[in-house]
Order: sequence, then structure tokens, then C-alpha cells
Amino acid sequence: MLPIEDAECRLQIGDVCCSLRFDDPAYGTYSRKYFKEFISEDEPELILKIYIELNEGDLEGSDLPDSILLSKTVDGNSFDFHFGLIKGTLDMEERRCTVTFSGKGIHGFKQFLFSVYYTIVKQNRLGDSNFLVHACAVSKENRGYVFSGPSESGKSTIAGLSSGYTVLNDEVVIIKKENGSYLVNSTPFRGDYLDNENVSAPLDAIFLIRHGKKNIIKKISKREFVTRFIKEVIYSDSLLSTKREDAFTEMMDFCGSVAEEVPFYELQFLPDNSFWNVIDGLDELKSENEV
Amino acid sequence: MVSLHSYPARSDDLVWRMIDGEVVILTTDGNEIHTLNRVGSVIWELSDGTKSLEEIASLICERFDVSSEEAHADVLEFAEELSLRKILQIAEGI
Repeated sequence: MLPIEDAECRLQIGDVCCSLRFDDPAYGTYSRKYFKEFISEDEPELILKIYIELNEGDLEGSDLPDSILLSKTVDGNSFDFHFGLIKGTLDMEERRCTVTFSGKGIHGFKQFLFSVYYTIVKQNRLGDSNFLVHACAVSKENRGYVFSGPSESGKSTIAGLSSGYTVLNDEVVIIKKENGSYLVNSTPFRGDYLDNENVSAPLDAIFLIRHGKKNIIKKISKREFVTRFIKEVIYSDSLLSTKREDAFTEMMDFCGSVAEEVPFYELQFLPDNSFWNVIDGLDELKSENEV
Repeated sequence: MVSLHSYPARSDDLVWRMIDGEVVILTTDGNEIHTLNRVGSVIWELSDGTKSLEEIASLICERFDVSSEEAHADVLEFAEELSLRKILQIAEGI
């Protein structure tokens, strides 16, 4: 077992453990505090040596696009995101990655870890049924409910209104297939809600959420679900892959599979916990379009 | 210029799947998602570069209860719109 270093944050992301080793121990201390529910003592599957080069003003506001994962070039074992802001090398045989974040590239740290996660799950051959999704997830009586939607749709609000239950995460969750069934798992990538728990639950239903003037659960077509849900699936490219089409194909197939196997609805909700009453009534929902 | 003698072919730069009989198309820059209705989905499936729009319209007439005039108008509108969006490539017949 590798000893844990001062400048290290050994991070658990679902089933994956990776070691973040910073050149400055202060970043290690900060990361361990920020990711405190997700610190692991397991053997890391990938060791990342991380260099951060900041200039004055780099931490203020980010003008990096959300699609930073798409702006990548690869040359052999080297990768370069967004024109040099994040660049490094990866050796999966040695389980080593060296990466430098320059200037405002630090704002892409989380997106970079998404790519690290996908790199490891694909290496473990779990990539075709294991995806990061922009969503809040709550476990109630060991039934996992996923609330997915774009920014400002209410993910953190749902988490805040579900404090009587187990909140897995309010920003990014893992949805994966295990032994023929879909599960939802927490991740270290949280939004405003601070009491996320690092647990998983069988996936019972997915709600595409939006704020509303009353609580409404609507059945929607598979086509509408896939079209809206795929926008919330985080681009599943690994660090050295150059086959963008493969990643999109996997994402599309994942969404189609989820639509086949997991109940899904649109949820419009009031900003109080009364939406849970409507969800509790779902078992009676058969053919009605509206509750 | 799209005509009934044009040969439509799906662009390579996208991913598409049939979901419950309707096509969902994702461009591989991740920026656009398109969905097609059932008639559009059939036209899309037939757009493999080997059939003219006139042949596709004829097949649409066989599968759906539409006149040949309606089918001609539908396939032309479909091909023009999707070629403008660069998700369908149009080649002229010889």
C-alpha cells in the first residue's frame, strides 16, 4: 500500500480511487478539506502529479466554456485541453499522469477530473454503462431518485428540501449498471449543498426537473427524455482518446438503455418539500398524464 | 439546389439512434440535438446515398397514407432543411 503523502488527496469517485499529488502541500490540504466525504485510503488506480501555475487575477471569474472537455488535442501520450491551459501526459501502464494547470486553466480542474474518471472506468472496461450526470440524487428508504436538469433548474433546491432523507449529491452523480440493474452513486463534485453522502442506491426513477407554480409529474416520451437527458450526461471522453464520435455513441446508447429500464418523468415543483408527496404517489401513477 | 433527382446521405459527423420509432441525432461537436417525427425518421433511414428523393417519396407513399404530391413536398422540405443544417449531404444524380 502506498503511504498517503502530505501534499496528496486520495480521492474516491464512485468505484474509482485516484491520487492527486500537488507540488504545493497547501493544495493537498485544501483538497482533503473540500472533498472530505470522499477521501480514500485505497490503493489508487491512477496517480496524478499536479502542477498549478497561477498568476494574479486567475482565480477571479472564469471565461472557460463548459465544453472545455471538447477542446482537446492529443499527441501520443500527451494531452492539451483548451490551447495549453491544461496539459500533461498519461501512462496508464505505470498508472501515472502529470498535469499542469496554467492561469485560468485551474477553473477546468473539475472537468479534468471528469475525464480522469472516464479514463479509469474505460480502462476497467466499465465505460459503456457508467456515466457522470448533472443531477441531484436522493435516497429515500433505499430507493434512489435522480433529479436532473440544466443549471438553475433546481438541483440544489431539491437537495435542500430533502434534508430528511439521504442526499447523495446536488450537482453531479454517477449512474451505472451493476448486475443488470441501474444504481446511482454520489461523487465529490457538489454544488451549493454541503451535506452530500458518499453512498449509492438502486435507481428507482429519474425526474427531469424545472421550477413550477405547482407540483406536477408528467410522463414524457422516450424521445423527449433522451433528447433532454443526454444534455445532462457529462461528455464521456477519456484523456487520450481522439474518437469523439465513440464517446457520443456511448452516451446515446446509455440514454436509450436508461429510458428502457428506468421510469422517467418531468417534474415541475414548488420550492417546498411538498413535491415528495407527489413522488410518493407515483406508485399509483399508471396512465394519467398529470398528478 | 435540392430536387427530386438528388441523392441524400446522412452526414458522417453525427451520431443517431432510433428511439421508439423516432430518430434522435446528436452532432459530434456536442452542440446540436435534432429529433425527427415518424415520417422524417423513415426518410432519414432511407437516406443512405443510394436512393433519390423521388424513390424515397415513392417508398413513403407505400408506408404512409399520403399522396405522391404530399410525399414529394415532404421529402424536398426535409432534404432542404437538413442539408442547410449540414446533417444531410446532397448529391446530384448522374
